[in-house]
Amino acid sequence: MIPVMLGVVLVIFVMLSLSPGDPAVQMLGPDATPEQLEELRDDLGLNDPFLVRYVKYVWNLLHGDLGTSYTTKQPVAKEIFERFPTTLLFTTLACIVGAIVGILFGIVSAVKQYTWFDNVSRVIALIGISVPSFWLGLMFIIWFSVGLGWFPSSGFYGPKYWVLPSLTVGLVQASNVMRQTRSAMLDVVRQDYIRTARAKGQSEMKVIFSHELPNALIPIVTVLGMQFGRGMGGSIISEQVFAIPGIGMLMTNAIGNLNYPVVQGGVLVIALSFSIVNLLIDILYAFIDPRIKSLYSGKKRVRKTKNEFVREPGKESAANG
Amino acid sequence: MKTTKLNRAVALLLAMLLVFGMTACTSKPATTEPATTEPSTTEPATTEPSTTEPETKYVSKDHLVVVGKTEPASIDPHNGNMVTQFTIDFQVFDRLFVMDENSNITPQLAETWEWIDDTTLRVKIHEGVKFSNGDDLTAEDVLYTLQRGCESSYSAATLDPFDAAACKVVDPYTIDIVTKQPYPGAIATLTHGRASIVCKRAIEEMGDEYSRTPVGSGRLIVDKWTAGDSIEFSRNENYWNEEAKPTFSKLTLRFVSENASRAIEVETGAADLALEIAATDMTRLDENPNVTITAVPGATLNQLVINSANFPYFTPEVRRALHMAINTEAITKTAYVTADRADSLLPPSCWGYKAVDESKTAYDPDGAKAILAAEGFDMSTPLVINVAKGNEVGTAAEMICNMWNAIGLNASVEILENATLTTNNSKGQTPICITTYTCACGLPESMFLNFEKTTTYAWTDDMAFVDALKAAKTITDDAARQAEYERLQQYAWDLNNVIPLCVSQRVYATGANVEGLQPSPTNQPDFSLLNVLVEAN
Repeated sequence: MIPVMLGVVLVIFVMLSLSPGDPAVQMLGPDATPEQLEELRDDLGLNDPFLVRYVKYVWNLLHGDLGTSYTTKQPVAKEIFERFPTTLLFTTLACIVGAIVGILFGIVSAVKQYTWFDNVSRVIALIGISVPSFWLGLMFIIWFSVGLGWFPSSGFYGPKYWVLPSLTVGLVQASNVMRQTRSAMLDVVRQDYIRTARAKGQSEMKVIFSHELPNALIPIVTVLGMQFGRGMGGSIISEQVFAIPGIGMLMTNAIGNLNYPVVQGGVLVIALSFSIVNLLIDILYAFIDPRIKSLYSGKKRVRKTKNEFVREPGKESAANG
Repeated sequence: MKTTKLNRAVALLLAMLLVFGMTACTSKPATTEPATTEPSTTEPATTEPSTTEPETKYVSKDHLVVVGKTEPASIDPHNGNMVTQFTIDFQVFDRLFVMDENSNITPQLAETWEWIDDTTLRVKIHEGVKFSNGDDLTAEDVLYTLQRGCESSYSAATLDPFDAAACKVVDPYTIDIVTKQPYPGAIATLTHGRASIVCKRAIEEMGDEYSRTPVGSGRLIVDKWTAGDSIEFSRNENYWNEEAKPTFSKLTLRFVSENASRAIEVETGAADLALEIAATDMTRLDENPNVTITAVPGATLNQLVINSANFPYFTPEVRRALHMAINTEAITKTAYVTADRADSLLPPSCWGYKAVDESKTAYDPDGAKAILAAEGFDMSTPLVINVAKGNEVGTAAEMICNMWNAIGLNASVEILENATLTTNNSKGQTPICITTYTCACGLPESMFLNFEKTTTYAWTDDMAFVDALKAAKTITDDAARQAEYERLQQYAWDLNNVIPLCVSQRVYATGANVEGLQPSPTNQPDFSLLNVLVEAN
């Protein structure tokens, strides 16, 4: 993970250095004199050579210092972690909606392949993937806030505020999950062990939820993990529509203002979140698929058995017997 | 059997969704209760019952919600560069003088004032004014404000007319404010947000924290700033001017960057006032009986800028031809919608404004073509119009591009990030761009500022004009100053370096029960004047 982070820092540093625009001009506006601009550039360290700035940044980073925001003069870490819980909550809720709706519809679609339900679901999923989330968000606001007055139109202050943003992003995610679930389920449905399960007289529900779904979960979890990781980068458009103070909004404003420290810090935190989510997904694979688990636990068992055999052969034979 | 049951269940679910969707679409506008309806405990501005409901009593709402577009980076008047910042400064700080929505200047902290010579303004401030930390506001704080403001890179340009080193405290409540040269706009400049009086001791103790939790003497006090979301204010109970105290005790300023979402906040009753309403939302809001739309001519000029200093092929006649080929009336109506066509380089709210004689640049594509031919202008010269991202400005650029191409020119549009365009402009690298410029404090010199700075925008290399602009600022006789600015407006118009397109309107949306809104042309309304009437419990 550390090499990934260092790579990310280098890439973002190079990209920002190459990007057009002068933070000093952006901060002071068109009325500033050349002397004032030069003074500010000096203060911000923008006149230092690229390598000096990079080494300084990495050194500070290793000491836990993400720098100071050009605009607010606040520590970048503080700015990011003030918004991180909001983004984490928003992403989690959206993923829950995406998972529940997507998996359920995916299962039914697969089980009822080529029925009218399957056809309608696939069309809806296609629309869900194609529809811009800001449009869907605005439609939800018009229906549920302006029309029915059920939910607030913006903000993220409590459960009733969470509903519309989570549904907006969650339903778009559900479209992806639904398609993936259907596809994975269809692969599994034709396997011999499913036929065997049915031949044993197991109920259809038992076949679906005990045999088909667990075997189809790996690609579904992968998609969910990717969406969660992407969500941690901030659902920028949805955050804007619903005025959610998350990382996406912070990054958008920082990029617009050429606020380099916040952009660098934000990208770093997003990359770290993505890496952690990927790691967790890898660990989850082991719980979902016993074959993956056995790859690791199997070695231990062999070693243990060998040792036990050497030390206590009596027990081994008793176990076998 | 199972399949049939499942099909029925799914059909039922889809039918419910359909009915639900249709219901939502056909519902009438919500009559949602405003965010907080507790009556104010102090100063309940009770009104008489209306004629239709004689028994209903109304009281002032205690907690107001305002939605703005952009979150400021700072509330420190000398640190930061955003309009929202000044909007907040006006609530949190006092100034020596203030300007109302009609550009009339009235005293705020100043009790008496007089020019004791051409460059010295002696101001006596009210005694007994306290900052929110309990400190007395004295002439020392006023002096510190001017000195700090003149030093800060952010505010130095605005406060440039003042000679901070020469300003001096006469007694604890009297100060001599000195300008570098005779400057009739001094008092107007002191109405700027940059001239908000800050607390010397608090800044020295708090450092950068002052930007987030400022100590002012204004009618509202910052209670809490939730990054990216909102700023909460409470009424300054110790405010020195009893008559100017707000009727509410709490105000929340929320930041909603999406235009449609901001309008919806007022529609649903979640907010009492929304700033910067987009033209696309106006029709819908106008039809809603629970919403009042207030539009006033703004102080911001949308203008096409031709950089002739660094791109000499834009000769005076070529610029005139380019101007003549633009139908600004069509651009105003189609691209900007909530705007008034510009007929001067100054917006009407600016001191000295006068509509110019446009006969030399009247819309005439054929005439423009003839001038270009007579000038021998190479019609294949690429004319790239640089604009920052934005719907209105993008549409305007496309329209100008089409108008120029219609007479055989080779025009195109390049859309840039705002920061990139600002940087390119500052280096004089932009041949043609569309920008906005806002008149500060109603002063004409603020609109002409960039003509003077050939090193930054490089809009003109006509040094005689630049010298005339510098001289006009110092004319102390109002009539002579007015005459000179009228001449300069006409001269600048005929230069055709800056082609004014339109003056944007400032559009505010309030709940129908909101009173006291003073719509500001610079988008800085005084929140403390708002009074929202709700039914008494």
